[in-house]
Amino acid sequence: MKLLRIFDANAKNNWTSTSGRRTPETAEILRTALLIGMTFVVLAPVIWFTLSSFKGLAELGGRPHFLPQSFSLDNYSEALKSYNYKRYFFNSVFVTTVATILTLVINSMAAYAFAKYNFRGRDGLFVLTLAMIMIPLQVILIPIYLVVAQLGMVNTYWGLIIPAAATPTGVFVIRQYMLTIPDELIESARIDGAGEFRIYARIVLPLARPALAVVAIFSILWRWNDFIWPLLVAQDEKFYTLPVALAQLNGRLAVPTNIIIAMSVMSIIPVLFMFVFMQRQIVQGISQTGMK
Amino acid sequence: MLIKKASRRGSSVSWSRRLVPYLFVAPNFAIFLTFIIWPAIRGFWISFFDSTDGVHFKYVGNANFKEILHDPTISQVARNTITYVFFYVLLAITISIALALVVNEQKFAKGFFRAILFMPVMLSPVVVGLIWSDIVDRKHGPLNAAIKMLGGGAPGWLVDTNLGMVTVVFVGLWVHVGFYSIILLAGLQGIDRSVLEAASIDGASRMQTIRQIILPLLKPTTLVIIILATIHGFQSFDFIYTLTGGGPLGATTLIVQYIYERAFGVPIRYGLGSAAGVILFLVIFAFTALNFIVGRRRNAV
Amino acid sequence: MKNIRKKIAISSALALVASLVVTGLPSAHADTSTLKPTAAQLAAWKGKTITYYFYHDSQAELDTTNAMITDFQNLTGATVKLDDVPYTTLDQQLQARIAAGNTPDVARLNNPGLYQNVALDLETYFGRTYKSEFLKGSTLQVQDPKTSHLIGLPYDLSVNGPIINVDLFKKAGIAIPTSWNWATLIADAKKAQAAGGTDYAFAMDKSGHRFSTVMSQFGAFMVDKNQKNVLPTSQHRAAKALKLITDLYAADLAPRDLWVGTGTKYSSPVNVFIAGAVPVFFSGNFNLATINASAKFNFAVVPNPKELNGGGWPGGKFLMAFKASKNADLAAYFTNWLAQPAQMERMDKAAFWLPTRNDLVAKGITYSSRQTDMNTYLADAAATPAAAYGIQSVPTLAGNIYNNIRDLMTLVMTKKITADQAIAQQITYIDTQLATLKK
Repeated sequence: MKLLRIFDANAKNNWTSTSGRRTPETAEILRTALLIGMTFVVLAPVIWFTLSSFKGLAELGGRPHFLPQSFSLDNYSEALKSYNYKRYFFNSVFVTTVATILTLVINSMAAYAFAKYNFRGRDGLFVLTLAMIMIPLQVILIPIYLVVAQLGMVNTYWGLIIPAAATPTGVFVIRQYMLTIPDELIESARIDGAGEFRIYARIVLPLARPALAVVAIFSILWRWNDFIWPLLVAQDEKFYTLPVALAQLNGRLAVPTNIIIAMSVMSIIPVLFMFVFMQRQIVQGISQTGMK
Repeated sequence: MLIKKASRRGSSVSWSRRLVPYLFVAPNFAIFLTFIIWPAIRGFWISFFDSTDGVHFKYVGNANFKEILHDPTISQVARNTITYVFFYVLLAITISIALALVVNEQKFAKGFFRAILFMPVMLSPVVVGLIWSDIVDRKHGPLNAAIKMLGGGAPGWLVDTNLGMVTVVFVGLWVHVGFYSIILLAGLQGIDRSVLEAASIDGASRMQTIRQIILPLLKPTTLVIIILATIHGFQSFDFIYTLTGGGPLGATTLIVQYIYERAFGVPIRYGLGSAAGVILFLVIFAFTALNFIVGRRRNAV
Repeated sequence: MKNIRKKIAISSALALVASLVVTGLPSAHADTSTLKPTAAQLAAWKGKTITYYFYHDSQAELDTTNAMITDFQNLTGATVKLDDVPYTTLDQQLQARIAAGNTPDVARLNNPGLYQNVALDLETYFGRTYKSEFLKGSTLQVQDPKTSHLIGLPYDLSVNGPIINVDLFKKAGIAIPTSWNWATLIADAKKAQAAGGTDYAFAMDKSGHRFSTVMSQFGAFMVDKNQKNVLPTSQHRAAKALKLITDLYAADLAPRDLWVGTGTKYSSPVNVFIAGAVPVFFSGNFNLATINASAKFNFAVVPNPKELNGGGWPGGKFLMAFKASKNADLAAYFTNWLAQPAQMERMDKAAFWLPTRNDLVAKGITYSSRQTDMNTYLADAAATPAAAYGIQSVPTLAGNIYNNIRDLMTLVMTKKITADQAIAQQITYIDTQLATLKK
């Protein structure tokens, strides 16, 4: 708590008064004002956008009004009725969930090997993993698409899920965290006769929970918002995820802006909820993993 | 490490035990190999070929690379990318460190502000593009409405070439800065409090404490942020494409969009796009390596 | 109407004569306009699936297509899978799919020249006279460059032209124009803007194709039917047209943001028009269904302004079946079925399309609403000068040529170059494009 005090003091003559509650100091007011300003910059555009979702197409093209002139839920009902929103939502949830579970399993396995085993080729493979972070997806989009097409995974959930499941970042984050798990723990389990996979599943994974939480959050965000890859693989409307549906609508000759905004707002809500509920774990997770 | 210890005790490590780490990395690397490494190698290979339909390929040597380097637009794209990455990384670091320091001190509603910081990174790039094109719209956007109320003009945020870049950098920061701050906050919390207490007892001023104690201790985290921001900067594409399409007058066309449009445009010029991709990879790789080396050396001093 | 019918009569008569001259006619083909599947075909198609790669300009097109697919499935026992893609990534995605060996069976396209090498020759299925069933001008874009066989079908004819906000015109006390030129169009647009207090006076789709209409009206063309660059011969007229439009944007009388601020993307100010924020919208009949569904004011299609020429600019969408199809026979049949008179008329009525079949053109389509507007389009189609069809002789290059002039216009709007410089640069560009043909 002393740390906070240091920054509270706005002038040297305050140094002596590190104890005892006082009225809020200028620094504290300034700081809170700054943070409220930041909150405004972050939230105002999103709120404006949300309000826009209640405006009709005609009002959207016209002069701006903060509050909708005719507050209506038409855009939402239209999005739900004629645009198959439910299907896109289901696909997004399904792809995100399965992909995240898969990512956690295979990333943590690889991370465990990198962190706790010494094997030939380990460092080489690890550097390769790091190098992969630097390859932008857009650059190898067509070769990936060729592979996926050859494997017959176009227009399948697997095509949406598998190619992006092995995230290099995930391996890196979990490995960094697992380095902090004491070797002795694993060694004693081994002496007790536990199998290698059992040690990983029963001892290491539970201890690595903060790192797994971080990777889970990242994975959920990536999958939920991903659109370039699904746009190519989900050719059948049955497989559209929400961002694909949005990109599709936004690419039309006559863009149905009102529907797009309503759908965007509906796509934000689930991640927002997730974040509000898991905010603490996310931040703690990040602070406890190798990212510090 | 474990294996090493075990083998010191004698070569009791069984053949199957040796196989274990490979089995652990296998699923992950099977996917890496199939969907990243192999396509990347294929892309590299294809960069020496030309094709206008993606089906028939003709070996052209380094002609694709030559064509890119002689493309009159590439210098603009390179300039844009460097400008973007420079300002993006510089501002991202400065602002995220400042925000992290401020939030770290905050007592009142700290959790709330932390949540706010993290929010933009959760939005889909398409949605980010849509939100901001709505906000900065010259005629109907609330931003210009506010500027007008304050007696200003109506700046063309997406129409003026310089403002276009400003807008794009700003929106890029809007998305990521909070995320970087969260990582830095974690780093700040890892700083030993006794060090700071000692400083306060020694009568160091607040700025002195920040400059001489906190920032140096925060260096490893800052390095992570610099690398992340550099990669994000070079790879920026989707929200920009939704927001400006690379305009006005190509002022916000960055390298990834250039590659995307070469590889995917009409007609498809897959070899050309791949060549541009190879160049980008080399540039990012060089920058990241440089960051590492410079960062390491500074740390060592 | 009379005019166009006369034209059709002449062209179909010519086609008939031409077809009689051609020897070795496959005579076994039944009338393709009412072709029914044979028992053998039905047996072969049962349970088969084909993919229809599709994009749409209006919701009506999508709805009608879905209804048609249901009918087709009932008729043949086959399944049609509809892949609806956004207009802006139409060619990108199709090219990627062809490259990956994942070609659809049938596609609706607006840039058919790109797919000449992979298209299915429809004449092997429907005979050497098949071409003559469709408007001659439209079939030019879907012919094999070597054999001149038909490799795709014109699915609709599009006509560019102005749509006006009648309420705003009334407010300004201007009668709905029945004939005008660009000077009166701009004067009226400004008056209507002033009267209605709207944001803009004029708006045009961000498209070189749309702008070519204006050039044509001023008597300027880019490529003729012999694949020759003819812009140098009409350089000054072209510059005049370009200056006219870009001046409107530079002066903020037209929505510059949607043109300059959208980079390499296509953009249509249709929402600006629907919002009642502009009295004159220069677009085409493809936007009519959307406007009809959303506009809350009276609007009307008015004739194109006449300078040296009147009329619009030819365009349209095409159907193509692909060689790579595993069920090529079914794909060809589906393509023909979609373009049969009964189906085409159904789509035309629902989505305000103009027919591309000679029989339907001769008969005329009765629309359930907006008949006057559609007649205006038809009249403009008939008044379109022959030279406007010239660029269709280079179907693989037309897209690039249109996009380049569009981007040059952006430079003029932002005062980086002058209109004359833009046309000079476009001349050089067309030359380099045409040079690629000779390679």
